[in-house]
Amino acid sequence: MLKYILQRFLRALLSLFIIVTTIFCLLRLMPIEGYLGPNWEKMSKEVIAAKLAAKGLDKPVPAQLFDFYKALFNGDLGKSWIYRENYPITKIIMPKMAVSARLGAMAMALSLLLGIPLGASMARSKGKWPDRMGTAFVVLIQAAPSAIYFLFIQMYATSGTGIPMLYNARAPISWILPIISLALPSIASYGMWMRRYMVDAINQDYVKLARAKGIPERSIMMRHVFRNAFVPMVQLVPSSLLYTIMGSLYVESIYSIPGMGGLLIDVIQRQDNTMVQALVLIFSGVGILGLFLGDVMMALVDPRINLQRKEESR
Amino acid sequence: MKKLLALLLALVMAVAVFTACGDGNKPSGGASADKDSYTGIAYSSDTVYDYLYSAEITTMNYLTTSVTYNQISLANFIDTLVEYDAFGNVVPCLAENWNVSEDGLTWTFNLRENAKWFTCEGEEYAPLTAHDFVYALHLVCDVDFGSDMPNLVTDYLVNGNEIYSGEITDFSQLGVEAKDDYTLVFQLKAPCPYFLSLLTYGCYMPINGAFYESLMVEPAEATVAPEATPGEGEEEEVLDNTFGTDRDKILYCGAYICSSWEPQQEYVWDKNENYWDAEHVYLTCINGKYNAQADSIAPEMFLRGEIDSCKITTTILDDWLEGENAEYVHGSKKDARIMYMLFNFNPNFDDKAASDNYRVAVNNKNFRMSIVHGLNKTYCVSPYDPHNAEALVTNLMIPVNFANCEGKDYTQYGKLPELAKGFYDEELAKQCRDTAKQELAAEGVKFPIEIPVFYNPSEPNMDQSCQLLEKQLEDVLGNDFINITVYAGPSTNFIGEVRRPGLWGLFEAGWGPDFADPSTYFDPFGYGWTYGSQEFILGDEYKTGHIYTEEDYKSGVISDEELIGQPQFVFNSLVEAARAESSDMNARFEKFALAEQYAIEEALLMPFRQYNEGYVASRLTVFDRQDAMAGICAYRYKGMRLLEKSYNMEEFNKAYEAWEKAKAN
Amino acid sequence: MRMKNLFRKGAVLERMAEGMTLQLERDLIDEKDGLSAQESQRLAPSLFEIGGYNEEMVEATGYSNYSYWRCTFQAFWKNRVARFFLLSLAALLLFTLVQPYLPNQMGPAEIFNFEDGTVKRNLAPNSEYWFGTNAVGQDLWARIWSGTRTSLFMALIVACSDCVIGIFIGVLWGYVRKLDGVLTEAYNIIDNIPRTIILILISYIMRPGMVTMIISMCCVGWLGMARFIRNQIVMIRDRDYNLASRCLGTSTARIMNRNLLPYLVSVIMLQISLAIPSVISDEVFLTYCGLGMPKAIASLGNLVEEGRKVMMSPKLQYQLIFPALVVTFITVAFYMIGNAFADASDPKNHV
Repeated sequence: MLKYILQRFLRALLSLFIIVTTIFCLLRLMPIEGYLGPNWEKMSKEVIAAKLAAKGLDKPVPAQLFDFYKALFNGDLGKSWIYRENYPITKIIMPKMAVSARLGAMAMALSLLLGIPLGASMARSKGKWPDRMGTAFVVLIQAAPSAIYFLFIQMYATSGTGIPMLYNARAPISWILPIISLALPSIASYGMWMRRYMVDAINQDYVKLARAKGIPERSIMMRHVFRNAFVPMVQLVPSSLLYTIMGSLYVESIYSIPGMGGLLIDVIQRQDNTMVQALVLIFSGVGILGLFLGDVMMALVDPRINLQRKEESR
Repeated sequence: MKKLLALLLALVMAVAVFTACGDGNKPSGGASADKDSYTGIAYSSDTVYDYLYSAEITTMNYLTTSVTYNQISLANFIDTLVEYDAFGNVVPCLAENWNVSEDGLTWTFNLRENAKWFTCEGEEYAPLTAHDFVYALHLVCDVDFGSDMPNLVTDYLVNGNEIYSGEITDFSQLGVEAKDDYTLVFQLKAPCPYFLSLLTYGCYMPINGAFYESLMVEPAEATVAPEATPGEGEEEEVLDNTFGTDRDKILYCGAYICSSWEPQQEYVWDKNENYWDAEHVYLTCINGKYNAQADSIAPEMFLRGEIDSCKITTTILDDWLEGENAEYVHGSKKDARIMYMLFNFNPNFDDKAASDNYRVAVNNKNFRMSIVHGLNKTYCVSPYDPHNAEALVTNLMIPVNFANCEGKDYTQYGKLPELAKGFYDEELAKQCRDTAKQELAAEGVKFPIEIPVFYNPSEPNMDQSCQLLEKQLEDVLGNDFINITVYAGPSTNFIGEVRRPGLWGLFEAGWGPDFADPSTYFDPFGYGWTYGSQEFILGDEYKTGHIYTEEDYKSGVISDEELIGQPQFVFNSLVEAARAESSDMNARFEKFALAEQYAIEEALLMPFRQYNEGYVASRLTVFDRQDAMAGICAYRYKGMRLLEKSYNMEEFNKAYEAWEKAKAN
Repeated sequence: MRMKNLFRKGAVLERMAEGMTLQLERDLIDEKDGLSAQESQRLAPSLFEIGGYNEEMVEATGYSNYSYWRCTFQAFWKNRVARFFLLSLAALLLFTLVQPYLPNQMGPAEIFNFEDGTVKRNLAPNSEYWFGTNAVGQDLWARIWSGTRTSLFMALIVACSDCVIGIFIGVLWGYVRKLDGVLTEAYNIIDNIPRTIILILISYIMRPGMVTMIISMCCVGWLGMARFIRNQIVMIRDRDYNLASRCLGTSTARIMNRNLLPYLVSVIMLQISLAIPSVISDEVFLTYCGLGMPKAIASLGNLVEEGRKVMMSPKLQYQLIFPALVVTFITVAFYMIGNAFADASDPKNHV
């Protein structure tokens, strides 16, 4: 088990290293004018040279890369160039991470709270109207571009309901729509899988036996069906984390939430490359960590999975 | 809770100030203190200005930044030596009075003694003295400090360029000196009639030396800092100063103090009650909330009363003007920025053949005139202002009311009044086209002539304007003569990717003035600039016969060494002659007018439109704002108030007229 | 170990692709198998007679007239929802193709003026401009169909290149055992990063435009395809019936054709039909980030983005609603059809 975790962890680090290096080098291919802010045209050659030198851009790329990793090792992501000139990136990102994490956690909790009952009730009313409605919902959410239904939520849910259109850290009512938007894709996927696992479990022989024995339907559902269906749900959590990250890019931007997702779009548009690097590192890190945890969790939750043995069989 | 309390307190104080101050400096007499003098709309009792913004402050280092949205905040935090009144007259600010020596080279400013530095908590830090200006100018002239626009200082003060380039290392030789605590003396290289307008730029703002030095990063920390690789010691010293990176990393001497700044969320500026001119600061709190999509969301929030002002983009303008919201919408004062349509004399299109074809065509004056006469500016500008496009169109390089000499506006000099009438004439355009067709056919030009036009996706409405341009010119001149194709440029680094490489045939470029003198508008067309690349004009009639020499480079006539040995052009020599004239303002303006006339009549460029902020719904008073064409004073909230109700179009136009009349007097 | 990991990680996405509507339909059919008492009485009594022993019949070998494709289409056709979407999507596609050639249609880039020379901006839907006009005075109806063509064209290119790249790499991955480790590592690395981040970065670094978008989408799109193919090949290649076929001397071509292809075809169809909605979604998102196509080109992403800018003005909401409806319909239809086809092509459902 430990060996497996270690192996996975090393692989995750390797992925991160390759990604960050690639991106670092690619970003250096971009034209330098972008680093100088909107007014660079009025700057003289000396000013431009001085500014580039101050950002360490006059050095060859490998040297820059080396500096970057050296700093990273000390827990320093460098300084922002344009977004907030000369301000340490870690200080910019920390408060934003907290905002994103809080909303993300709430969205994930909400999606579990709604998604699993949704799936369970769909499974119980299989083939009837609630099930069909649920299915239509799931299909719509999974197929239609999230960018579109997020907009419709913002457009219609704010008019006449008194919910403000923008996020406001001090007014929790304004958190509702972003959280719902972030949770929707996960609700759909939880609902879909929960329904499927429940239907699978209901068709099992032990359920039929339990019915035959006259156990009340309620306790069959709780003990035999729900619990068995719930175990494989665990591995969905990390992928739902990925959904939340992707959603956050857009949702945070339209609700103007001071989080990391909106930030990435912003710094991309302003060509603040140190910030782009740092954010990509963090987003990829979270994604990788999520999948890693999902695998580990699955192994821990389900006693039937034995990593060691399967490893040998390969 | 604390904030709420502070807000309440501020409100109470505001009411107190309000009732106490009566009519301080009302623009025109006769109005009572609680009404707008132009329209009679009552002032609101609410003195907290809320609005939505989408561009975040990137730094508070006012000595380095040249970014507009940074300057907006810094103009309110830091005062300048002089400022403007609501009618564009220079008035004392930190300097109480000043005098110029006979030769125009020595400017002496006497500073006010009641100006102080405050921390972000509103506590007094130190008195503001002449030494603070000297300290700041020394920083700006230090190349490692990284100021965006040091030229505004180094080009004017004695020894500025030498210090910036490192030839002189003794900063005390810079042409600025503190005679005593409250006397500041500037030594200029050459007489500069517009020097006062330069003083309203960020790079001439003061800085408290002791405070700045207190922000140097501790050496211990600096070694941990990753960039601290050996051999860079000098740079590190400056780089690792945290001045301006946060609200507590600057001192305030202006009307407002930044009491909260959470990037991408909000900022709050509270009025500094101890400010020397506090009685003329009516808004007690400026409260900005961030939204990346401010333009599309702000109008709705304005209607809900959550904010006090918003921009009305042209897409929703009709909707607002037709409905009951028309009551709130009004236009805005014109900006001094001018946009031109440029011809590319050095085309470098992706398609080589089309590029060479265009190069021949554009050197034909009739071809250019056919476009000049064929271009219906009103139609093409309509995306920027569908209801009053006419007002945005400009036919001159310099806006009205920008500079005047003894009451005579620059635009009245020479042939300019005639040129201002415009050139749009379809018949004439067709005549020019027919002549051009004959002449060009003889030179082997292929028709239709391909003209690529690029738009910048991050510039609102520009895509629409370019599409209209394509339709309009092709309709007039015919598809068989020209073929305009509209492309999207990259939204970041548009100029570097499109204009400089010369991918375009026609290009809408703009220029904003740096100081209050016509010469600022001629800067982009100097020799060696990519604004139209005039050095590539082929016709001999545009050349003067003079070849630039080493001397010209040394005396600063040309700024680029590579231009030595290149021919001089008529337009350039006209501009240089005008620049050289610095004593007789009348003659100077005459000469600039001549240069401008030449450029326009020879169709070297086409003035296109004057920039403005477009339509807004805003409860802010419009004409109490400082009226400054250049510099940062126009961003100050000092003197402005909130109205009970936003102006509507009619009220705005009436007030605009009254204001212009008052200004002319 | 590696393989296990790979399977499990992919499992979520893989199974998701199977969709659930069809599962639902299948479940319904299961229940309907029980016949009511009346129905069973109506069955012919001859069915219940004892047949007795017949030597000839025992020795006879039958030859099933089972045809894979016929059964697939039959199974697909039985699905009412899928049938509805298929027919309406076909109608929509046909319409977008012929629309420019219909009489009285306007050009998508054409700008319309009033008599007095001003631009017909933001006209609400009316008899002349069915979906109204946009801020430049262009006909929204024409733009929507032109945009649909552009976006679908792009989606098809991306889907096809996904398939080509995916199959190529997948086959290598599955057959060449030496490459297995390397490719698995590469897959894990790329798959670990959120897809959106890769998309944004590639579009950011290159100059925005259609080609850039296609490239960036291809960079992330082939992954899923390659893994599917690889897994299928690894699973199917050594199955007993393939071994048996080989022993019986069946030609490789026939094995490929009869035994492998049916499995892969369903996967490929599914991939293509799912790639289209995701390409359209990605385009909408990238356009929002400012990394989309030039605004002058009508595409669904541009239209939605144009509409988004005016969505807070109730009178102009039509500029968002029309493109949004078209986008939603197209994506949902492709998604449903893809899933229905995947289910129908599974031989297990051909009973």
